[in-house]
Amino acid sequence: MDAATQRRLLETMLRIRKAELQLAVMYKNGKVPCAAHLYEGQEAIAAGVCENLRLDDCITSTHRGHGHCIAKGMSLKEMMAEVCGKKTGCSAGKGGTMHLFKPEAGVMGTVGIVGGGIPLATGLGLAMKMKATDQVAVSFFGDGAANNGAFHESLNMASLWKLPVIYICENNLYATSVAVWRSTSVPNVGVRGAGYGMPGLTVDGNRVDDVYEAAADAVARARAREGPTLIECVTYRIRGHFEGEDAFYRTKEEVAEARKRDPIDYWKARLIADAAITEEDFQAMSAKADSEVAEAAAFADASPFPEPEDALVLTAKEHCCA
Amino acid sequence: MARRIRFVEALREGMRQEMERDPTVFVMGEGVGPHGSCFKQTEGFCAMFGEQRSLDTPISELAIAGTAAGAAMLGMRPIADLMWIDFSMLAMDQICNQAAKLRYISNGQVRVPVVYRMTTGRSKSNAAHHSGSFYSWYVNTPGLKVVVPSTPYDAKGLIIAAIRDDDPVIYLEHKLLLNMRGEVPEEPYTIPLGVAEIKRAGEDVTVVATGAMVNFALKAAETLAKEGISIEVVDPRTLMPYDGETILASVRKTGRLLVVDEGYRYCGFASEIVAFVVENAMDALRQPPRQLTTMHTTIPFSPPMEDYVFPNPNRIAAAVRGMIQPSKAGD
Amino acid sequence: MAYVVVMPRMGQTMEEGSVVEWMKKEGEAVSKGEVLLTIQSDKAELEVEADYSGVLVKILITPEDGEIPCLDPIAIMAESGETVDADRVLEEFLAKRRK
Repeated sequence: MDAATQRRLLETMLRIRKAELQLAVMYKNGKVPCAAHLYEGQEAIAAGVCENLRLDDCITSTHRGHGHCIAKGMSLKEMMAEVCGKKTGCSAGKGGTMHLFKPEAGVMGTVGIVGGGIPLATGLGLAMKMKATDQVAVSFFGDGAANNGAFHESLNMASLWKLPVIYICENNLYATSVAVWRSTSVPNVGVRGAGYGMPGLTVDGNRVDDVYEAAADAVARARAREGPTLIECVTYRIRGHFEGEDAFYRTKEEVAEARKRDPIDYWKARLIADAAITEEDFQAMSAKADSEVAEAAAFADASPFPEPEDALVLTAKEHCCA
Repeated sequence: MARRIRFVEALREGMRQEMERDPTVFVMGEGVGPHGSCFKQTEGFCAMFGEQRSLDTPISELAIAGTAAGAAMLGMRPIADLMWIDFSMLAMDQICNQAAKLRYISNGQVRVPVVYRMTTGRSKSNAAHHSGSFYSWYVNTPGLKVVVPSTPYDAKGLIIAAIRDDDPVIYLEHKLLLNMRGEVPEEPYTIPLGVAEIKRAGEDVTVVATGAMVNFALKAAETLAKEGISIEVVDPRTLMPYDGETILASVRKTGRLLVVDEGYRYCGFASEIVAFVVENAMDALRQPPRQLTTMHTTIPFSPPMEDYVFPNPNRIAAAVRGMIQPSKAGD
Repeated sequence: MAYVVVMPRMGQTMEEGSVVEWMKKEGEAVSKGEVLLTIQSDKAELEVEADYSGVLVKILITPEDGEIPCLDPIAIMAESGETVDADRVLEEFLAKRRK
């Protein structure tokens, strides 16, 4: 991994972290209309995977999708404005946090139904194969979605047709309030790849270099039209399922332990130890991310809400009873 | 003499002509490949277009529907065959939560030009899991268009229109119509979505009928004509968006409305048309509208019971008589 | 810059909250992320972290005030060393909200 990539990974993770913490503050202050599902602690996965993707590669994601959108290249301003329900958001306020789109950046939908984005990503892969491009599609989903029928059907199809799809299971150990060992007969999701005839592996999702390397292989494989890959990235969901959740189902001690494996701390320490960056460099990166996020938050705050009638701009006028 | 071909042949011809014209159009579903589909809707396609465009899938309705939607987002025009409307229930998240909503929630950044084909309606003793007419659920879902052709001519025109439409379209093939013969032009043509057709002009009662019920209504019309009763049979062809103007104009002419639909009445398409007409042409109605639908029960297997629960030409004629001459309702 | 701390909305069903305990006193320095106070929501007792570092200038709501609507002011914070007219900051906040 070259120095520029090392830095970019750190910058991306910082941008995601700062954005999510800013959204947490905005949520508390009533600026986010709906429940916010934040990505703190999982940044290495979005950053490590998306660093391997081109702008014209595609991703689908989940209700916890801000990190993927940022890593894939959606603008912070458009994303935050959308999360706040403003007219200047990427979907002009029609989608919100759980339905983010930016086709120019290859963001083909964060999806509010658990498992809903997996067949869609499979279809993106099908189109890429049929059009004979060398694009790839990535499906981000969680440990919860891995138990959904959509996962099974999609992986079987993708393997059958050798589709250029990389399935990234972010196992953050909790599906809403249910721990993975209480919901999943075999809590290792990576092994399921074998059942579909595709490579299936498990990596430490808090080590961005591990994620990056595993994703690089999978992307190369997909681009060469050798077929799909399943990568389970084990991480931890630092915040509740949604902001304001009383997470009684896990202890404060468990969360505190998990914070010791912070992916940004890990990568910062590695880069400093390798003399790739200095502490001053890090502070500068951190300040830059702070400033970008603050600018985006101010933009979102200052942006107007849509007009009420805008709700119907896409509704067919020919409906005789509309 | 004009060419008369079967409904299934007209449907097949429409798909074939579109696939010849537009390389982004392809069919996917269980058995659509070498087997040519369950009712031969894609017979010969594999030889003509190859296996990738006549794509056999596993029995994975959810992934069939979702993969089709995903491929459509990137500019393909998939025709996803879900075989039976009953099986489409397994795909409802991808049809109703995803395909139907992607354009809206992206504020138009993506379009989903997918056609979901499925057979509908009764056949012969197909029983509980193969006889459904649940399309009112799809009519009720914003973002979906729903078409149900009743003739070979409509079958070809509507499938071509559905394929060319940039939004998801549910295309319903009634099993009892697949072998019906009718005149069909050889060249490609479209029937605009949202346009009804008066299948038979009449004076006394407007009978709005869908799918196989259109033919039942036309049979009833022949019987009633001999009794001096003239019904106007209106075929919406598109259920969403439906052609309210044509329906209202007919009701303003006749003053009476009977809606015949194979779906159940509760929150069904027939109920929708009744409500619409009452809301918009109350002054034209001489008496309350009526609906004739499948009885609200799971469809039984044994023929006498199965026949009992469905509308048929006799029941349609009796319902009309009951509206014209309440004392001579019969049946 | 001085800002108003509001009763946070911690969850979609939370309409009101009450102050359980202030962890900092007026005039005390606060670091970003430190627990500023605990509140009682409709579901649970929750810790509220400071959004920014600074000084807790004025406490507006105490446990004795009982339940107040979410997003109503509960305190004024400022940067350390900043001179603040707490009443004016509150007034400006409320005026902006009324628009």
